[in-house]
Amino acid sequence: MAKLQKLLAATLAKVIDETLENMAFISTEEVDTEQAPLELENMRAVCLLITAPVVMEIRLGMAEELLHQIVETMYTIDADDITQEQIADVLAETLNTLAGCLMTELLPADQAFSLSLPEAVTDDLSTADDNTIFATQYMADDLPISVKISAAATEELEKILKI
Amino acid sequence: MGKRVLIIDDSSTMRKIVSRSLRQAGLDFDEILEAADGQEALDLLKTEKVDLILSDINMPNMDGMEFLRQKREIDAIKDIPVVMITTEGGADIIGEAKELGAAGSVKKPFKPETISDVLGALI
Repeated sequence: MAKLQKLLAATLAKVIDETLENMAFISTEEVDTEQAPLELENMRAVCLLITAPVVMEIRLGMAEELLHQIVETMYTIDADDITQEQIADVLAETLNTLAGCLMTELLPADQAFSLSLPEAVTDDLSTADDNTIFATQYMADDLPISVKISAAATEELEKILKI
Repeated sequence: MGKRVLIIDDSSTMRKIVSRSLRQAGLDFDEILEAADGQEALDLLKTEKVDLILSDINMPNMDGMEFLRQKREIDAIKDIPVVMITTEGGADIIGEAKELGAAGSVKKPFKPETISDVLGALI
């Protein structure tokens, strides 16, 4: 499990930075949450299932203020004109792209994978359940981002990843 | 009439990103049309002429693969080149799309130069 978590930490840090840089010209940095827990209030969350080759769930939480900034940049509109649909869409598309990049980086080149459509969730991002295999937080423009990955069949995942 | 492109994606954010990338890549389309899924695109193509289509694969209602399947049966639009924009860039998915008539593919996230390389040969 330690090797898997180390691999996920390195890969996720790379792909989240790449995804947000490409989408919205925003850089991210990982936060040591043991030393400085992030304030996870005013966050919006979305989840997505990786349905093959192993079932995994990825939950992404982003600060509402950060989502507003991204929508403002992306849609070139005033803050007052931002809609809830645009906020939800940016969050969902960020997770969709992030999950695709993560699986592409993790899996062998010839290994296909498939994703479900993202769904908004309203749970507490700070708590881990029994199936959580990795959870981390980042900062982007001094605003928090939270990622939680869950999977039941970790041995199968480790076998595919050859670790 | 100038060149027109149709972007098919259920995410309005991704449609914005693709539009922005086309402009940044210097691809000079006179008009960019948008559809939220394959069915909306087929409906739009009944009345609108386009030179190129960029389509997501994973969409609700009608996904990109079904759009390719139905498009190739319609004489008026079957020859319009389609480039797939995909998150799941596996060889099997790209292969299936090509068998259904896709002219190429771009994997998310992409840089404007990637779009330019793939589309340059088609327009």
